[in-house]
Formats: sequence, C-alpha cells, structure tokens
Amino acid sequence: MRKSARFCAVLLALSLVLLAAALLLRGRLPGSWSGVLIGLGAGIFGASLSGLLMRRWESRNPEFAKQNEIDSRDERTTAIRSLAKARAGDVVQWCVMGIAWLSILAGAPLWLTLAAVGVFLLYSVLSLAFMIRLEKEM
Amino acid sequence: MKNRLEELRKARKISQEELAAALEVSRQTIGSLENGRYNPSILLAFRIARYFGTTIEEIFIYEEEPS
Repeated sequence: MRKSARFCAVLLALSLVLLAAALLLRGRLPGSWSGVLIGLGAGIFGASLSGLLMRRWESRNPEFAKQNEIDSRDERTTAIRSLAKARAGDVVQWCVMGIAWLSILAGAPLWLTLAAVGVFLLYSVLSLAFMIRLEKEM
Repeated sequence: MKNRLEELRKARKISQEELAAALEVSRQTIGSLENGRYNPSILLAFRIARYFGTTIEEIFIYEEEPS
C-alpha cells in the first residue's frame, strides 16, 4: 500500500517520540517496556524514512515514478505477488507449528505453546473467512 | 495459450516497451504473453485487441487440452 508523504512524515515523528520516550524513561519503565518502545520506534522509523525517500525520489523522477506505478499495478505482477504471499503463508503456518513443538521440547511456558497453536489456527480461520467473503464478491 | 501478439507487434514495428506503455502493463507481462507463459485477463485481452484494431480471437488461439 502506497503511503503519502504526509503520512510517512507523521509516522517518522511518532517513531522519534517513541525512541525519545524509551531513552528518557529507561529505568523508570517496568519490565522490558523500554525495549518494546525502542523496537517499535526503530521499526516505524525505518519504514517511514524509506517511504519519505521513495516519495522524494518519485517527485524528482516522474517518468520512473509513473513506470513504477504501472509495474506495481500490473495484473501479472499482482497475481505473482498474491500467489507468492499465499505460498509463503502456507510455509510459515507449518513453521509456527514447528515452533509450538520446539517450545514443548524446550520446556517453555504453556502460554507460549498455546500462543503458537493459536496463531496456527488463526491462519486457517482467516483463510476460510477470506474465502467465504471472496466467494460472495467474485 | 498460443497467440499472434509478437507477430502483430513486429508488424507495427514497435518494441515490447512501447506496447507495454500503451497498454499500461509491465514489459515483463508483454514478454510473458508473447511466449505463452501468461494468459491475460479478459480486460487486458480486450485492450490488446482494441489496440491492434482486431478481435480477441484473431490474436489469441484457444486450443482445447487433450483429455
């Protein structure tokens, strides 16, 4: 999904706030909340910065931007992307089940195993839900 | 699906890039269409036929697969 430059700028500001909060409140935050804030802030920072740089490049190279737009909406590219995501999802689903088994063998807390099984089941439920919805739409 | 896309394109002396730009698809899509690796959607097939001023059946050759 293509994001506007304004949206990326807002996200960039948010990421800086999160990073600043993590650094300023380190030691005063309970548990690993500081790490969570740093992780979130860094992730959003990277994504928003790359979005802004892409919008800037597109504004300076409109002919390439138009070609990028065509390539991203191209029906064959879209079909390939959808099929690749579906196959990757199938593989990841079974990897999650592998993680559940590993957590049992490693003696991890029960909630961790149940969370992994929950994610495995969620994929199946979501797939079925999307199939039902798309059956009505198409 | 076999097709005459490459033949029609070369008859007009246009490149794959030019045809792709005219149809607003990627050059890779034109390449895949010409060598039969990819079958177009009905909308794209109509746009291709309109571009060349002919019908879909004149460009794309449907052959039933042997059972």
